[in-house]
Amino acid sequence: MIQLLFDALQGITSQDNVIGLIVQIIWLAFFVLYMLYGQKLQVKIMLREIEGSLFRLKLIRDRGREIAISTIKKMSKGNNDPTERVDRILEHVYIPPVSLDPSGIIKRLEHLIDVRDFRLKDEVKLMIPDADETKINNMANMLEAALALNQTYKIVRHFYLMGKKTSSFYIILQLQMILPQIMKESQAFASALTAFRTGQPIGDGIGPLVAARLMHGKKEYEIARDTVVGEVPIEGRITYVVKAKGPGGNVGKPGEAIRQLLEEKEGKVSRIIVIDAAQKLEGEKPGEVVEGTGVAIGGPGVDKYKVEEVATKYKIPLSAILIKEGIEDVVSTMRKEIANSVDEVIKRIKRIILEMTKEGDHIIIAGIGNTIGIAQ
Amino acid sequence: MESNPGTLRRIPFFLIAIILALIALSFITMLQVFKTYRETGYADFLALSLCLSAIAFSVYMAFQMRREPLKLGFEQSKVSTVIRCSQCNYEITREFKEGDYILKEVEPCPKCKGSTFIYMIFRESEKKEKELKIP
Repeated sequence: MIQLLFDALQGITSQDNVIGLIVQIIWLAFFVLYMLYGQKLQVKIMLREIEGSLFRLKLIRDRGREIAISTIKKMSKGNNDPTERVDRILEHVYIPPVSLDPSGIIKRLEHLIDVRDFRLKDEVKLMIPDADETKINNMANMLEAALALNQTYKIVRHFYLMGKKTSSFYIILQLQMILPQIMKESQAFASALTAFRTGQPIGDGIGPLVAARLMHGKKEYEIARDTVVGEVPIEGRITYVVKAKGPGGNVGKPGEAIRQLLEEKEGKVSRIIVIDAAQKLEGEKPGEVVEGTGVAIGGPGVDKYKVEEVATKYKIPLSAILIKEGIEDVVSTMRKEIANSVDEVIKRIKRIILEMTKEGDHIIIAGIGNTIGIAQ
Repeated sequence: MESNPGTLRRIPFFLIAIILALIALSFITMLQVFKTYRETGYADFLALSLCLSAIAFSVYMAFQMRREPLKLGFEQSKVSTVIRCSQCNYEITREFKEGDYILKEVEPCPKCKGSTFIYMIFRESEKKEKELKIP
């Protein structure tokens, strides 16, 4: 048997017979072709891979659009067909303020964000006239997620077609390199859409959840648009707990709320503690709690700027408590590990208060994030 | 009724064609090997082992395709609502219902008839993350 196997192998590899010669020629031809068309072949393989992801992105985008339309139809009780309006919203473009002259950019940025926010909510009101505030906020959030999915698909499609048209190895390579991250983010937005539709709390809501837990049963009032504050005594100190107004999907205006509180108290606040979700690094566990210094407020930077400015004006120390989350957890329904970190965060707030403030001091605690599914 | 709206299966026609071609070629070669063996008594083990490997590989690929439906991210994972009594701290966990939100007051406590509220809403993570070894 071994002899047979040996003979067969020799037949293929030997140069003395015809088969051997053909194999040699095939190898040589393959080598020459690879030298000449290797990169083109690689481009074709990469394009095929991108095509697969693009197909998936299209499915996600279309499914997101379908969910948005059907949910609005269901809520408006079939009074009118929202398809045309939803399609128009999904193509909505936000133009950021000019940054050539950075002076006053924050005010302009805030104004543009407000206008966009109002516009989206007005569109929802027009589609669902008898919806309450919570539903309007949730639907506006859902449309934003659908819009993000549409934009992502269109950008990836643009670079794919550009790469295909120009056969540029480098355009295709760059697109292929960032595709895993894009796919991860798109899937996160897809699950966000489901969470916004049903009004479930999302990972980003961990800050408002801690604030809600602290101010539960206490009287609260609206201090800034869509932002509430409650006076809560903790360890002999008076704390002002700030959060976005829930349970509708909302981030509120925590920067404005903290600024107003500080101006009201004429700066007589001994510490500001900000609680927010933070992007976890690979290897870190979701729900891990860490502490830091500074203003832990994400987003476009308007609220962060306001808090930094007013804290600097009155020389107030800033503490941050961060809850680590992966990109896929931030906008999807809050996972158990993150929800369970609330007790640890409250323990740390109490420790900071005891160690760094005196009895009778005034402290501001702000829970930052989207408060969907979390009341106060 | 909709069947699992979040998952979708993309049919890879190209891959199916390759698998079918591979299986067909393997069977033809196997027949040739048997024919040669019967006629001349020569057993081409190399060709036979290549055929069997190709068939095994094709079957494996076909199973791989079956096992991986296209996940889009819209799949609804199990979401639970924890209700707690504000007097006796009695807790009950049930499935999330639309309209639930944290701190919403719900039905009276079955134990002490005190007021209850939604204490927590969370999703169970469906799979354990793969842990990569680090030095």
